[in-house]
Amino acid sequence: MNRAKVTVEPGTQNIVVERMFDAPRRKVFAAMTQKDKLERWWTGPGYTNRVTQLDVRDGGSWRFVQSDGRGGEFGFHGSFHMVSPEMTIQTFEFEGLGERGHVSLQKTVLIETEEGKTKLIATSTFMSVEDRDGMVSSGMEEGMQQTYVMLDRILKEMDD
Amino acid sequence: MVEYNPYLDGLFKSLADPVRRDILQRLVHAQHTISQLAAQYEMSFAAVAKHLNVLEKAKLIIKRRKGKEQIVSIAPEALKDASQYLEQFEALWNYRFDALDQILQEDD
Repeated sequence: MNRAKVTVEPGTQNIVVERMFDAPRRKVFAAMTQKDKLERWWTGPGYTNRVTQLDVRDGGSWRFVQSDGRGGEFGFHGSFHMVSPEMTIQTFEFEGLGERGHVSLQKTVLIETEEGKTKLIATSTFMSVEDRDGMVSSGMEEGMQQTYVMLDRILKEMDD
Repeated sequence: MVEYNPYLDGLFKSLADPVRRDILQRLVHAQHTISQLAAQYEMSFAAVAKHLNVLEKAKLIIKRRKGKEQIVSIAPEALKDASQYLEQFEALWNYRFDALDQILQEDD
């Protein structure tokens, strides 16, 4: 089965998601920019997605509302900084945090392979809270990748 | 649905330092006093105490007083939160991309 590869980039606040799709780029781009298609796939288990705003162009904006079917609704919105089949950069904010301003930046790159498949590389860059917490950023270069390796190890040891 | 969580952001940052990870690894095996931990590193007692404060703030460790000494032990819940976060993130994207696969298989 085709699984997404999720990487936490060392020295950054980035989470990178990579995935290969068995379709040409124009088709993947269409599925990522058309209302009816977005409503079908940009969901989560048990959720439905409603696209309430979608203006796919440089300077445009978007808003999705996810419903859990039990009355719970979760809004997400953002702006398109630049849009093209090769690369799209947009902002992303979850409306349910009770406090505005926790915005992440999302860069989506689509690369078409010689076999007519498309590789998606989506990078989410999250804002930092370390300055506010007075935390020193030394050691960040060591990377979060190792953090997860260590986490796995610690969790395994704890289960013993 | 976990998309963004400021608490976890802080948690990951406190785990991003190699000394703090090393401290956690020692604590997995046994609880230590602050002096015992400080003796393991070529840095001042105050510097080690500072790292411990960061870990405590992220709820990764628990400190408690026993006589004159402070005893440090690991708090497994926060570690589980961090690991589950990544799994949830991955599961969510796999769910979405599988749905996207379906759409891509349809005719134009």
